Amino acid sequence: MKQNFSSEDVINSLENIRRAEPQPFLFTRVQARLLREQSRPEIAIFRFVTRPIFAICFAVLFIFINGYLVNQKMKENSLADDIGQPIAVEYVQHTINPYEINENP
Amino acid sequence: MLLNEIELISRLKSGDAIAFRELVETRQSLVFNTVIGFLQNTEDAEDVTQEVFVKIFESITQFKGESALSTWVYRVAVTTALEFLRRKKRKKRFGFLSPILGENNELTLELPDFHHPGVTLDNREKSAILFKAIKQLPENQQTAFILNKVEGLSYQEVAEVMKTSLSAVESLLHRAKTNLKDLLKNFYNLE
Repeated sequence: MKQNFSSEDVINSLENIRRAEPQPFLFTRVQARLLREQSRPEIAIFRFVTRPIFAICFAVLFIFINGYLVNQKMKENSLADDIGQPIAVEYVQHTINPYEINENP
Repeated sequence: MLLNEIELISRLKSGDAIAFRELVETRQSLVFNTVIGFLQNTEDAEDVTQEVFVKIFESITQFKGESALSTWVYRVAVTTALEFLRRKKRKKRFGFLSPILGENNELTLELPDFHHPGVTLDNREKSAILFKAIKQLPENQQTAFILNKVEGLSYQEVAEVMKTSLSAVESLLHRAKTNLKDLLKNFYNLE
C-alpha cells in the first residue's frame, strides 16, 4: 500500500510527543497490589527462595555438607587402613620373597 | 514539597509509606510512558507500571545509590517491560498449537494499530506505522530508541540507563534508524 509520506516522516513522527499519563490514583492500585501479593504465601516463599542471598547461603551450605561428607569418607578410609595395615605387614613378613632367597644362597 | 533524593532513598529503605507515595506520584508518568513505548497497549502498560513500583518497593534495599534514583527506576521499568514481552511471546508460541486442532488454520499476524496518547493528531497515522516497526527491532535497539524518542532522554541519559557507553548508544540508535527505514521500505513501500 503506497503511502503519501516518506520513511523519514514516519521516523520523525514522534517529535513533540508528550508523555502518556496513567489512570488517576495509581498509588492506591499499587498499594492494593502490594497487599494482595504479601497475603499470598506462595509468592512470599518464591520471592524469598529467589533472593540472591538465599542462593549464596544454599551454595555455601551445599559445599559445607559435601566437604563434611568427603571428610567423613576419608576418615573411614583411613580407619580401614589403620586396621588393614598391621594385617598387611604381618602378611608381608610371612611371605617368602623369592629374590631374597636367591640373594643369599 | 519534593523530598531531597538522598532523604527519599533513606526513607524508602526504612519502609516509609509517605516516601513511597512521593516516589510513585513523581515517577508514575516516567514509568508509564517508558513501558507503553514497549508494550504498545494501555491496559498492559497500566498493569506493568504497577508491577514496576511493586518491584521497586521490594528491592529498594538493594539500591546502592551508584546512579540517580530515576536512572534506576528507568532500568526497572525497561527490564520489567521486556520480561513482559518475552512472557507474552512464549505464550504466543504455544498458541500456535490451537489452529492445528481447529478448522481454521489461518493465523492472523496483523497487529492492531497503537496510537500513543501523547502523539500529535497530524502524526497519529505515521506514528502507528512507526510503533509497528519498532516492535521488529532487536531489544537493545528498541530500548535505546524508545528511551531517546518516546521518553526524550539524551544520549548520555540513555547510556546511564542501559549501563553502556555514549558511543554504544549512538551506534544503537544509528542501527535502529537504518533498520526502521528498511522495515518501512519493505512493508509499507516507503522511500
